[in-house]
Amino acid sequence: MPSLGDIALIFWGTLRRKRLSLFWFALSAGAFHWLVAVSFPAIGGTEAVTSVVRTFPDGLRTLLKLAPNLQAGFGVQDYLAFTWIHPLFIGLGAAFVVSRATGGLTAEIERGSIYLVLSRPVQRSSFVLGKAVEMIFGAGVIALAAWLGLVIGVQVLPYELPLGNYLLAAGMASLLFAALGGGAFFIASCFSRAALSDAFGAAWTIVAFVLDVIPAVAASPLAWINPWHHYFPQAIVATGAIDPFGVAILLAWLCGGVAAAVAVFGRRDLA
Amino acid sequence: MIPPAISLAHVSKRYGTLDAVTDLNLTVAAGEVLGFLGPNGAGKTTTIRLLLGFLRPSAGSVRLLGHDMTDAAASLHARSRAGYVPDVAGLDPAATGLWLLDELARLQRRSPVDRDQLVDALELRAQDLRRPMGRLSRGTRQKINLIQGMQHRPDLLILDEPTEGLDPLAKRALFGLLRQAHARGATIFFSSHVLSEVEDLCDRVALIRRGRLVAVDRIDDLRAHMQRRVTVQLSRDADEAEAQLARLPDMTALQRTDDRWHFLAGDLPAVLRLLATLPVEDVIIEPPSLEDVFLQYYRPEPPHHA
Repeated sequence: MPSLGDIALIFWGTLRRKRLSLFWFALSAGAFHWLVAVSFPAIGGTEAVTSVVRTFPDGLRTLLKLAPNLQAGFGVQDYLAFTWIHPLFIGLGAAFVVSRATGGLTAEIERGSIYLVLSRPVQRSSFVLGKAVEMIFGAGVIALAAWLGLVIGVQVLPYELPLGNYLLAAGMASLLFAALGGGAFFIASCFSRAALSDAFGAAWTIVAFVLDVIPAVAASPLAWINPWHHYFPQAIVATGAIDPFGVAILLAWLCGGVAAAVAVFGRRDLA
Repeated sequence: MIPPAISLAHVSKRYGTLDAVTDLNLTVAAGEVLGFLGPNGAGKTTTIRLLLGFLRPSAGSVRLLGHDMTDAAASLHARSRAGYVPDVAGLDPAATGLWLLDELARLQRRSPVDRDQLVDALELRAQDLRRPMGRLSRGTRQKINLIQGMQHRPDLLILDEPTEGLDPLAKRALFGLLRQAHARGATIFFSSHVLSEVEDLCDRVALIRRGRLVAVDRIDDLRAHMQRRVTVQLSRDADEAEAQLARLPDMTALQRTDDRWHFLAGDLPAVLRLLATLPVEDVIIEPPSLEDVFLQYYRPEPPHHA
């Protein structure tokens, strides 16, 4: 059984070492959401945004997950909800979790620093779990920073917005990133070279995203397996509710990925 | 009965078709200092990683301080009493030495009782421990690497090329610290390719070549098995001397400089019998240095009497 004390030590040590990197990721997410909010009047307000969205071809609408029922009245609320699936934001979150998976497992082997830890009475499972907890914590911090940026940004807008709903969207975003991180951890546990782990981790997040916007795949009976399939921030903001099934699938990806990483990492050669 | 500190029984490690180490059999008694010698790529680091459970053997068993290192739970007990100084520590350049040492001490679950003594002996300054390791010299980082492996006073110390990057004063200080550790009963497994270090410190040496142990013995016993270095000075030129010397059994490296003949001889009685028939003015018979031993084992065809 992994030791909670060791998990906490690994988590804290990793967080302390990587705090600056997490700070910049979080600041970027917060600044992006703040900028989108404060620039809304400057780009022409509701009218301009709605007219632009109506010009989008179907393929682009699908790619941006613009829900058909929301397109008719694409106002500030939808516009700000859209930022939660903007390529910059999801790219930031995906890059964070992939970098944490590679940095936490593969790069530690490549650098040799893992031998300092695992030559001590620390189980490999505790090591992986400590790193995973830091990844989950970081994903939460990034999503929270994005929400805070949005909250600060909308103060200049003359609209009443459901900020609690955006917080739910932020929670779902952090869960999505953590789910992608679970897969990335599993990938990282299989490699000893950081470049390969990064490449396959990035490929996993991108391929999964692209599969979910291919209509034939997204409409197939197995579409629910894809973590991206359960991330629909505009619907969360509009309804103020989260799909429990989607939450369960994302949690399954997170727990399954980390459990698989623990299993692989626990049995493999560390060299 | 105290179990051996290290026990390798028929241990092999294979990567696909590559045999990294083959059929290693090695026992290191508690309290012993063993030098583990071999050229680069011979399998020293692979053996150490097998010892610590980082690698799983393809065959055979590895026991450390009596615990099976392929058993995750049992290996924790062994690792709690061991200290490891890796050849490449990969110290985080952003972390300070002090922070790293504290973190590793907490994970060790043993108090860093010897840290202050080690810091003093290795002449580390307090400010060096408070600076990010990326700004420290290689030698200073290696001192921190040594301290992390020794600060908790381990019963078994495994060192992989520990003098890399150290200046002569720091090397001397390290050997003093290792002798102290040995004196209080610690077992030391010292991997190196620097023969003089091993010669000064170790009770026994194990020589590894292309993944196989070619000799495990006391240094003196290894020397006893080896050819002596013989220098003969003849009082007058003896035309037939070279041919007679060349016919000596187990003789190699015959060279002549002026009136002196130099060679390595394995059969001393035969040498003495021959010299009695020659006009010898002076003769010097030296035991082989550890370097001679090393070189003889690492010739293309190693001796088979180990």
